[in-house]
Amino acid sequence: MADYAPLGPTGCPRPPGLQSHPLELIPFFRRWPQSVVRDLVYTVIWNTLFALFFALLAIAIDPETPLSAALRNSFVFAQCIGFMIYAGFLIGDRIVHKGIHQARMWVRAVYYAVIPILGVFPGYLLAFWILRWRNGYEWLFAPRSIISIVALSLVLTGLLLLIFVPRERAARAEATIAREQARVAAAEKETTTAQLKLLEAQVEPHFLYNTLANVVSLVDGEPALAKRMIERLIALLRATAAAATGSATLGGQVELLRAYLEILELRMGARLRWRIDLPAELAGLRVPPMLLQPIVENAIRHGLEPKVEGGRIDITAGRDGGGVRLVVRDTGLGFDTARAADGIGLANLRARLASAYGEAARLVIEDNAPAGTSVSIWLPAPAA
Amino acid sequence: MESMRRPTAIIADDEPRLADYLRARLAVLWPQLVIAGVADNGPAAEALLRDEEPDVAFLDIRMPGLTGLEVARRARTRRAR
Repeated sequence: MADYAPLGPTGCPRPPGLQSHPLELIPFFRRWPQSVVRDLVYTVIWNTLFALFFALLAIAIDPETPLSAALRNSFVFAQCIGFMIYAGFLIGDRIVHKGIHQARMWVRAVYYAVIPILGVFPGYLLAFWILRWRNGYEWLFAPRSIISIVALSLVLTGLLLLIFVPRERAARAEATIAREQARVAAAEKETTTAQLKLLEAQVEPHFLYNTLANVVSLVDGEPALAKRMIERLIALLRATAAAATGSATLGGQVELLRAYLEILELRMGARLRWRIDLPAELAGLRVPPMLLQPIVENAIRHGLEPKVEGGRIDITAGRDGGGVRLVVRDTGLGFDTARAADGIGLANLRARLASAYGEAARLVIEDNAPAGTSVSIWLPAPAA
Repeated sequence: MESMRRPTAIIADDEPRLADYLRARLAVLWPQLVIAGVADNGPAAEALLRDEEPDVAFLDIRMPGLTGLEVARRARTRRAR
């Protein structure tokens, strides 16, 4: 059963293989999941099919045989022998456990040949006892009978193996392909996540050349301010490069935001005011990289930059209940859900939060009073 | 003496230092050019364009209120009328 586990939950019927009931050769019987009751019912049906075959055979050999007697006798024999073989496999599987299903093909072939042979004899004995055929014993243990019983068992087992072995191979190959596909899909997802992370951790070219143009304009007249701006730009690039490596602390992210906002303040002048409030005890908190940067960038680009009179942005971190709450609040134009750029950035952030914390983290976007947007992130409690 | 009239221009940029820098560079590269005004957002740039009717307008694209592209588009339709 373990071999087909990857296919089970998808709802496909288990493909027939060596571990299937022989009745599963018929597609109709593959629609019910394997269970003890099902297999008992299947065994009755399977045995009855044999009974019909042997009854017809008996009549074909000796047309004088009354139909009812032929049917009754072959029914009893087929059920007794069939259930003894079934019991043999139950006991056999219990003894060898799953080991047999991983064994070499010839070992399994021997196993599937020997159990029916061993089952046939008690099956006959049981049938003789039920039908009160006292002279049956002598017939059964005559060398001729033993040879023909063994030969018939081997032929039947061989036929079943011929049918089941290729099916089992196909099922195994299918399971291997499914596993491989799942592995490739998982690897692809991981690559995409890593690329998204890297994408977030890049300084926008437009930001870079506007900042450098500002520096150029300052060099002659206000060299001290030009120097300060370059220093802040270096701090921003260093923090961004660190974020691209994948792990980050809240303190590190706040340093990046400080550099970013100082540069913007130098560029936008009085139109931008900002404040960051991070308690010292939370500076060491490990968080996914680029957690706040996309939110702050959104607030600037879509909230404050397009607003003629500008505004302010406040970033706060604090303990909230058992966890930590981070808030980015701006007094800009307000959040527009129709704006695709915001949607993608925040959807990406939500996905990264979910992959890092599962259900335990939350991201909420609200209108800020009197104007602008407030974005809150709740993270689960860190080990303080 | 119409041909002797000096060309005029306006500058629109929401980053004041970039506007100042452009003005300084233009003073060197195009000394005859008269800067008729500087705006720091889209609507202000549009008002300057209407009032000054300059020969040249240097418009930043990303500006508060109205983008530089939008300001230029509106100015063109106004001229066409």
